[in-house]
Amino acid sequence: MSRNWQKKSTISLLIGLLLFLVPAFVKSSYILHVFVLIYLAIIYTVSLRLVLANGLLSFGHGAFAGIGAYASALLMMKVGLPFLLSMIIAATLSALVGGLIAFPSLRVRGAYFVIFSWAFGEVFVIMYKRLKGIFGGASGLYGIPGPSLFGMTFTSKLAYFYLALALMLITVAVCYRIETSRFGMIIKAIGNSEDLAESVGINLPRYKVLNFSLACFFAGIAGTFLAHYTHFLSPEMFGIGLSESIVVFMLVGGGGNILGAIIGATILTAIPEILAFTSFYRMIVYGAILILTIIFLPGGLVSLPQLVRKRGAPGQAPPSRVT
Amino acid sequence: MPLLELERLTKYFGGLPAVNNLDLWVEEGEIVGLIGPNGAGKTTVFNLISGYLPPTRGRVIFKGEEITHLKMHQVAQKGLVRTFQHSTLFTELTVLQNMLIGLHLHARLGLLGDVFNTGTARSEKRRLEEKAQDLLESMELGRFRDQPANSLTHGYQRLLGVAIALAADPELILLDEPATGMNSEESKVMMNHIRSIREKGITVLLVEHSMKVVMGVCERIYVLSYGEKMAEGLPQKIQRNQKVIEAYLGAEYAAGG
Repeated sequence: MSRNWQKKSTISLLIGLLLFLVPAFVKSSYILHVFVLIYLAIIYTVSLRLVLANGLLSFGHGAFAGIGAYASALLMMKVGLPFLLSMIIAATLSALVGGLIAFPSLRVRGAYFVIFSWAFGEVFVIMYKRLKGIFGGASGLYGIPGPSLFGMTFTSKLAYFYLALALMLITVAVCYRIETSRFGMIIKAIGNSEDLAESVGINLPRYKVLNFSLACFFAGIAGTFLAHYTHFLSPEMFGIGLSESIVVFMLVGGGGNILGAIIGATILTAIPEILAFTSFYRMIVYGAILILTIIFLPGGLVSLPQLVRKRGAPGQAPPSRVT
Repeated sequence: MPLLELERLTKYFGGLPAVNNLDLWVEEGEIVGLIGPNGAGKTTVFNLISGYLPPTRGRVIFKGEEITHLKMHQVAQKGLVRTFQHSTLFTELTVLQNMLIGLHLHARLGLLGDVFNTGTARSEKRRLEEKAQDLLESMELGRFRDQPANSLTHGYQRLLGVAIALAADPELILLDEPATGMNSEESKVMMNHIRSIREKGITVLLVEHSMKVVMGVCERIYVLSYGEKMAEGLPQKIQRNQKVIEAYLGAEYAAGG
């Protein structure tokens, strides 16, 4: 293995370990709650990157979190399945629905896919609202049990913190492996040129559907956790607000890099929480940040150090402004 | 039995015939040219053969088997691979990675082994990399292996496009204007590569605008005009065909080219 790779994995391991130690220093359950939200945002964002790598932008990622959330809640409440099993079944259901949706929709590209994914997400919001008997309607689904693992029921914030952390680390590790695998390379190649990829024998629907399903699986995992964490679900939690936030996290952090996705999710989750924006202002601020990023920092926050280095170099013209 | 046979192949675009009742065949081991003025339907023929577009009528037969309604990736599996007119590459991947994608049909990798990089997957990836490297060397692209594909000059991009198709190990390769936009030096290099492709036992069907390239490498030529076959035969015969000269070669050849 290359030196660079060793360095990278050592640093990631250290950061992972440090995160496990956070509760030793932070006693405020509110701060731990913010950490949990950040971990969920990272799962959403890192998994959405799989779709972006394929050259597609989905404004329906939140809906797949919703499928996981509602499915797992109902599986525990109505069927009485244990937490771990219901989590895996629910996330698999997200992946399956993702695959079913992807199959016809992947024929459309660019802006058409964006619109399709958005519309798809809204269909689910309406379904949760209308089917009161199953999903609790507009007033939501109450009394969702907390998770229990190996006979222990989760009661403290700490337990949730560690579960969310573990799920986040697994998701990041698996998504990173996917990105650096041959599969990830094929996905990127398809994003570059579908025609050329197909001409050398790549079965486009198979790869695109599988990739979209994988992304939906992780969104489903995060949604499942959310259901058993908040004990309450409402249709709007998984509407365009969430889907748009995930896209903003990804693009502001920098879609070209997994680290960018993590940075974007972390900063844009932490800041509004700390400043206590209402969700209405949050969407406006996100929109403004997104526009500013695309104009002035197209590579996202993760490209900032590189840009600063460039600008600091002597004898170099200032970068031209995008107009 | 010819390697490739087109039977009355026809494609209409909204009532207009782009290709009309085209009969064409290519024997194993030949280098065959398909020429014609702009808009004659040459690229459409390639799109129909490779499964990129479905024909309105007619049949495409490859190795004695009908492939008319197969999708492009299935046609590639049968051993028929095409290149594209414009420099179509995987621009965000390196030159080596472009070749690795070209080797898709020869990769023996499961998704799980691939993602978790098991021992067998690692050795398979090494095998593919060596194969990709060899192919790059044979196209004189070896020194660019770790550069992004879009950093290459136009001439090398065209070569890489051909190399990607070759990586798929085809029996018949369709080259769509391989020497487009090349200077005469680069064209010569491309012509040598086309000849050496055939020496490897790969049959070549070629669409090309540069008459130097077509007359230089092709053993047999089909001339298309308005989607219909106007002439076919040896290059010398085509060059003397009055109808072809008028329709297509006229200006260039009258000027002493």
